Amino acid sequence: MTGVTNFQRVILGVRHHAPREGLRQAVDIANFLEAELRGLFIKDEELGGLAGLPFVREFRPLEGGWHSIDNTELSDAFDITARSAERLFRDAVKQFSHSCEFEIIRGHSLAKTIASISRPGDVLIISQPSSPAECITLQFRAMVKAAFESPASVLLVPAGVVRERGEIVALAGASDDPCIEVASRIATRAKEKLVVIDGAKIAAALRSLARNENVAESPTRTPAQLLLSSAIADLLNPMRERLLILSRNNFEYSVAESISTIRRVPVLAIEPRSDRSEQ
Amino acid sequence: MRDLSLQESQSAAKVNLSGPGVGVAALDALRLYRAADLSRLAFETTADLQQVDGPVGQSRALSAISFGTGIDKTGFNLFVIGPNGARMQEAVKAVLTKEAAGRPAPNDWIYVNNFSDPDKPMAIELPAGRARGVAQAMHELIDDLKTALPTVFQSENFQTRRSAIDESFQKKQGEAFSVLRDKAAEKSVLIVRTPFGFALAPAENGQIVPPDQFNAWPEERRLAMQRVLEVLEKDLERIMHQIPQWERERRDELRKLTRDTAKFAVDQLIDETKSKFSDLGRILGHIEKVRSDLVENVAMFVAKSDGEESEPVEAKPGSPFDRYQVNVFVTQDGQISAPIVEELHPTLANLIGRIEYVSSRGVLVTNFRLIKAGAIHRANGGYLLLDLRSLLIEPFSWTALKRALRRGDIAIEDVAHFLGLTSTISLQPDPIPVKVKVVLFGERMLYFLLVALDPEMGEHFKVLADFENDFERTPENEELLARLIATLAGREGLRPVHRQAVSLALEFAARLADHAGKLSLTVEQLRDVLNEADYWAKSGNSPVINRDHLRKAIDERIYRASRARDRSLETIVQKVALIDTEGRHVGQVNGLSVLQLGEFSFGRPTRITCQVRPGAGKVVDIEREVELGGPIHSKGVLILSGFLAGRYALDTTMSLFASLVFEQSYGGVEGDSASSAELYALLSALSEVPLRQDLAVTGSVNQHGEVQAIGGVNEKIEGFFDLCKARGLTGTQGVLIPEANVQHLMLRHDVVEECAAGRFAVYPIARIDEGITLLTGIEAGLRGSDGRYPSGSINRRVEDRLRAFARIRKQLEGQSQQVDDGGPT
Repeated sequence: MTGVTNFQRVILGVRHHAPREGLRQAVDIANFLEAELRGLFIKDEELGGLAGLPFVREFRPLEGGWHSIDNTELSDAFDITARSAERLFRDAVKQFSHSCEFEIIRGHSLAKTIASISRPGDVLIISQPSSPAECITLQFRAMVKAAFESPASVLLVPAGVVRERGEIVALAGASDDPCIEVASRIATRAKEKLVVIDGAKIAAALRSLARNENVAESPTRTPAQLLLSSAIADLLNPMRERLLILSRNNFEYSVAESISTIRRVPVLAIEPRSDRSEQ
Repeated sequence: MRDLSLQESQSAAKVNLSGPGVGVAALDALRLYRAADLSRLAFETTADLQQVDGPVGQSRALSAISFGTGIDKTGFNLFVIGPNGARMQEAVKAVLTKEAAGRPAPNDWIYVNNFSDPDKPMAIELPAGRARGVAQAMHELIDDLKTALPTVFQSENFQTRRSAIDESFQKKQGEAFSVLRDKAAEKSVLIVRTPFGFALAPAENGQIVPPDQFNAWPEERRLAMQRVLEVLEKDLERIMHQIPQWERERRDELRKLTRDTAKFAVDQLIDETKSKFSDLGRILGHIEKVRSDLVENVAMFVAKSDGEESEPVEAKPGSPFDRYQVNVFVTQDGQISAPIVEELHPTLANLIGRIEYVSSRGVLVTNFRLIKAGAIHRANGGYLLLDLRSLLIEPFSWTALKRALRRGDIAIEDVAHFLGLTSTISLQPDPIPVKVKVVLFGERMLYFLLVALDPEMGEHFKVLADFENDFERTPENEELLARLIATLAGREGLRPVHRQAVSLALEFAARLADHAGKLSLTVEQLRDVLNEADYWAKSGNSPVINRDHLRKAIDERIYRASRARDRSLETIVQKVALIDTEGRHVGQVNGLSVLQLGEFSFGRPTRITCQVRPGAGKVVDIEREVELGGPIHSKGVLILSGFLAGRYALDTTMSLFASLVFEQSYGGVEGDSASSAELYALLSALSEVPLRQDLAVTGSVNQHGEVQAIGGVNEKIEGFFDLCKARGLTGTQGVLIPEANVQHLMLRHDVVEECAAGRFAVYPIARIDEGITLLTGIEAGLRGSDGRYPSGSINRRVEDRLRAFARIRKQLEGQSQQVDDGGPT
């Protein structure tokens, strides 16, 4: 099995309303990856079309009312939010030990934008919004899907990370799973304990859980994926991990997202290496 | 002024001058100094004597102190007055210590936080010695909670339950939005995030329909989409409006969880703490308030997240945990009797307490823990000793003390607020009821001034304890004082004092009392001279203090202080200041005065002269004319006028002009102790009979010619003696003193020796006539049945002279009248 274990860039998508704590925690983990950090604000130009659509209005929670959408206002709003995002980024990276920069990119489609900027050796950081409303929006769903379709590794940071110190856990499909090496390196840098959960344990947990008749099925996920997430969550129960690492080859992105949400810890899904040898 | 020889004077008066003095005999040497009599007391040194317990000779004061400390009524505080060096504080403390031993230690006081009004800390009274236990228990409770509470709140159980609440809320929101998303997806609508909110947009294949594409739709389809959007917008709006309520519910649930968790964690520790104070109702009540506050404010115990260091165990003032601590304000921990507190620096803050501040992040903060007790608090239930002078010089202290005594409680006031210098928020702690016996120590003058000027004195200090300056020199009292000397020697760690030295010390005490028949009770001076004598004994490698050591100590004390006296004597000996000690002069006499410089007094002769001429009957006091004479001195001089007017030429007008002056005196003159000398000078001037210059005079005189007692008689005699001795004693020199002062004589040993040898003399004078006879060698004379004084007598001469002045004046007045009338002159 091959996978990238050395990372060149960490790309952090910054929203102007992102929770500061989540940003800080993302930057903390990025520190252990020892790569250049790139903050990114994507100006979604697809939204520009909203102004041309009749009947489409903007609901502003702060003001509590509906407002018509104007292109100029929208553009100005994007500029304001971009600057706000940059301020948040600069604040979050004060303790970052390596080089970093902030960039504003205009993109017509988030998926295409992410596909265009990411490459093997990158880590795309996706911070889960604290608001459930935002989790169901087009942009967030598209971003997650696009990230997991890109050649980059993905670090999912849930809302409300439960702890900042704890074990580094590798969910290994096999003994040569590259996530073990990544986890080991991060554990050394972070001075945390390394725990490896191999596939056999996961399979055993899954079997045990499958025999449990109380597991409900979610209409949005395959029962297998839900069971797998739950089985892994049960395995992790005695632990107090701060970071989970798995290989995208072995787990669907929905499983990674689900485990991150259940355990409220970041999950690093490292991307498969295609034709490059390990370094 | 005419100088007459002794012979001329004698022949004029036809008086037989058969010795240095005529009429009055000189005092026997035995009357010049009363030696101590310790014949009834058998001892070799003070080591053989039983020491005394408490002060001696102070029955009046001790009786007052006993009454004052025993009476338990408001206002009966003590005011102790007496001479410096009486060691009143020591005496009073000894009495109070015995009194206090019979009284139980008063209760403790603590201040605790007032949770409902932190600016008004609460005072709680506790049985004696219990305060520290309460404080320690509360401190341990908080320490335990600092460990227990974070553990509970960081436990998996709490975190899980908290997460469950959060997840439930998130799930509720998530489900609502998921339903909306699915409903929207069914209708081909996407939920989009805009910079400041959300929008619902028509979609195809998972993408927003571009405007041109949408506009190309048939109108019906566009209208249908519009209707769909309107419905979905309402759904979105409804969900968004519901979020704050869900959030409130989440917070309420979290709060309840936190409270229940805190209560569970706190209850056990609180109940354990309460069990230690089941007999202290107010403490139990306070702990319950602590419990409630802990539950409401548990966040401060769990503010630290994982991995961060916790606060130091010892919470400093200003930290949030202060609110649960206890300020041990006053405690009798270890005390088993009533307190005796002496406040040597009675500033307002030291007296009534103060509120301190600490700097925290650049601002000054305070809380109930920074309330500090004052002397009145510490003495509460017991005795407070204060020096009056120290109290009066401190601003507001006297007023504050009276206020506390009147109110029966102490309110701690910030002096800055007192003065209106600041209006920042400060604490207003519960006043503490006070029941204290105040003992003020002061000088007599201060006491009487205060009584005269402060009407509240009588309200608060009803018991006066007046320490005696001295007591009767009876054999019993001499023994007592000898034992006191033994006590002082023992207490000071001195060598034993030999019997002979003890005798000398008693004689020294009589000299300090300025009375042969009294013994001074200024213990401090006795102590000092004994210490010095011990030094001399040590220098001489003597195991005991003998009479010579004590003698040396006394002499050395005088020597150290007598520079001014010696310089003064030098000016006289060198005739810079003119004083005769031989011969005779008309209208000139040696007066005597006492100068006090610091602790040392010495006598100094002064020439007093008088000039007379016919006049309007006025005796002019030149000192008074130039405002160098004080009122008492002026009164003495005016009395001379009364004397003359009452004795001489009663059938004619007083036609005298006389001027009296203290020659070469350029400082102030006060007192009337030289009035007899002034009268002698006046009589000499009028009678034109010279006065002996080998005699000095001291004594006050009244209008009847009676010579009255004066102060400093020993110093005055010694002053003239020193001058005569410096010039060489002639064997005729001496001093005239009031007879009433004989009882005060405790002269220096060299003076006594010379008197015993007949080379110096001291004459007791009761009436002016005795003195003038001695000074002139001529009888004063008694008025006969014919109304006239004997011829040649001093009084006759004076009267004749005054009559002559009256005739001259009449003549002059007659001439003057003629001139006015225009007649011949």
